[in-house]
Amino acid sequence: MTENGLVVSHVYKSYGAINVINDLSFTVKEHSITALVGPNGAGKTTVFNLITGTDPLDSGMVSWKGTVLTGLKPYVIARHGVARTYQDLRLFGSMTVRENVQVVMETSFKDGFGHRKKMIRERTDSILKSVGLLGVGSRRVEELSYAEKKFLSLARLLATTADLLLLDEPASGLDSTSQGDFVTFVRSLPTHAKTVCLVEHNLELVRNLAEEVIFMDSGYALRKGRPEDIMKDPELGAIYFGGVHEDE
Amino acid sequence: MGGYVGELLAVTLIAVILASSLNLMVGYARIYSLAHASMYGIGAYTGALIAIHYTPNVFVVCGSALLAGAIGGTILAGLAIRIRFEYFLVASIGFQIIMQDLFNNLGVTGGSGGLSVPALTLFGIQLTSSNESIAVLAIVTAIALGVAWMVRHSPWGRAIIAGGDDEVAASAFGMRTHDGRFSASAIAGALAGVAGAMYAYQMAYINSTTFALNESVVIMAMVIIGGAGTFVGPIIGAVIVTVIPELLGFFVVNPTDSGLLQTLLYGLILVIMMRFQPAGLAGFFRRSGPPRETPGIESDTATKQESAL
Repeated sequence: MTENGLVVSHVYKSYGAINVINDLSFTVKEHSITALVGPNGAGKTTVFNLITGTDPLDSGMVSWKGTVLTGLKPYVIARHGVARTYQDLRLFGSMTVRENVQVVMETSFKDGFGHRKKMIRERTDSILKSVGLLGVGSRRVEELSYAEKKFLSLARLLATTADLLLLDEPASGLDSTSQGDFVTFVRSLPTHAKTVCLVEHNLELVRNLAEEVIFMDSGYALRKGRPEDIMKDPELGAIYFGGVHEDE
Repeated sequence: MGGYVGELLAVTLIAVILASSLNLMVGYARIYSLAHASMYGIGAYTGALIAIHYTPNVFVVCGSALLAGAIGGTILAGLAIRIRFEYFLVASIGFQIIMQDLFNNLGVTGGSGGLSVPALTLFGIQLTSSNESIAVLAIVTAIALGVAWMVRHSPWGRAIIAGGDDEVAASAFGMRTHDGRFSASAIAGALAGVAGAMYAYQMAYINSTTFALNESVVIMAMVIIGGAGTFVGPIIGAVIVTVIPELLGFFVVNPTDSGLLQTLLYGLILVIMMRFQPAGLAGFFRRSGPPRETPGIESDTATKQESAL
């Protein structure tokens, strides 16, 4: 029996002798913004890799809106409405900015996209405009600034029909203006009925944006709660900044 | 048009088809194959055998060569899905060697003696003159380039390129990257097969030495020198790699020296290109404005994070 929303249930993952995820369980409500925080090496990005099928689980179960994703190939999981960004962006480097968005949209709207060519062109324009990249649509990815690349990685999400968006350190490397643009971007998402789960080290941004925070350490979900409650917990603060663990 | 110039033009057009088709694998799907000459050979022998034993009709001959090349490309793609990058490169050399051995030893291919190929026919008319054969080849080349252009500019082609650029990301956006590799390899094999049939028809004779490993290396050189992943790059590369050695022949009296110079020149150009212009000659034509300033990079993340707690 699976619940609605994102359900991660008793998940284990190890690479060789190193246990990265240990009996991890949490849920993310639909139409909510949830942040995964924790020190480096807590296993946050690994969780995204497990949800999207990039890495297989050792055991446990992941489901989205009642559909069990465990064991499915990444492209099948994507077709169940899950999309993500990457820390290292992973843009399609030999394509233009416009093609990066277009190719994702063409894949997502494979069937039943009436007046396909015109609609895709218009929708691509609209997405590029929303992230401030319309003017550089014909440029190759390598010609973009880092901030522009970041927003292109977000634009690709908008080109999907996904309703669960996993954002891996979306604000890292951005200045305060661009971070503001990013906050605006995420806040505009609920109009598309999206559920957002993000991994982020910028706790100020997490506090501004997230409705719930899951604090992870050493592959466990230590605490879940409102951002302000999690951030004023001295024990979690010590783990986050001092590498002080519960057993110490 | 006939004689030396006609033959040079024919060889150049065939090289354009070969380089443009290999570019679908190397430049778009990022399948680094050194077995393209075997696809070329499969098409040449299929076309020749159809012309000899069944019909010299140009449509039947080209269609059969296309199908045989596509089957060869699909078999090769089966390897490309399970083996990646440098490992596939080595596997493709193995495939090339096996095919070369078959071309050289099977009775049906005429063994090392090769096959004589009859002139093709179009609507019952025998295409014997040099002008007719060049015209047929020019049309076939235009169609092959049209296919290569369509692959680059179609949704399906963009998905192939996306999978070649970043398989993990493409897959995470719902693209079946294996399908992309299969189709790129099958189309490349099909076009190389047609190039083989055209070669057999143009030369009226084939044997296994034309479809050896060194030919695969030369086709790869065309793609790399011209610019992998671009439409015009392989065309430029094919023309340069085919025509420059011929020009050398005018300046070097001793044919032995000419062959040595050709080999040295290929090697030298490849080393220089890889060192100074890895994007190939087509890279010179690409818009290359000054590096954009990088707004939006923060310097105070750590401070913000600490102050947040």
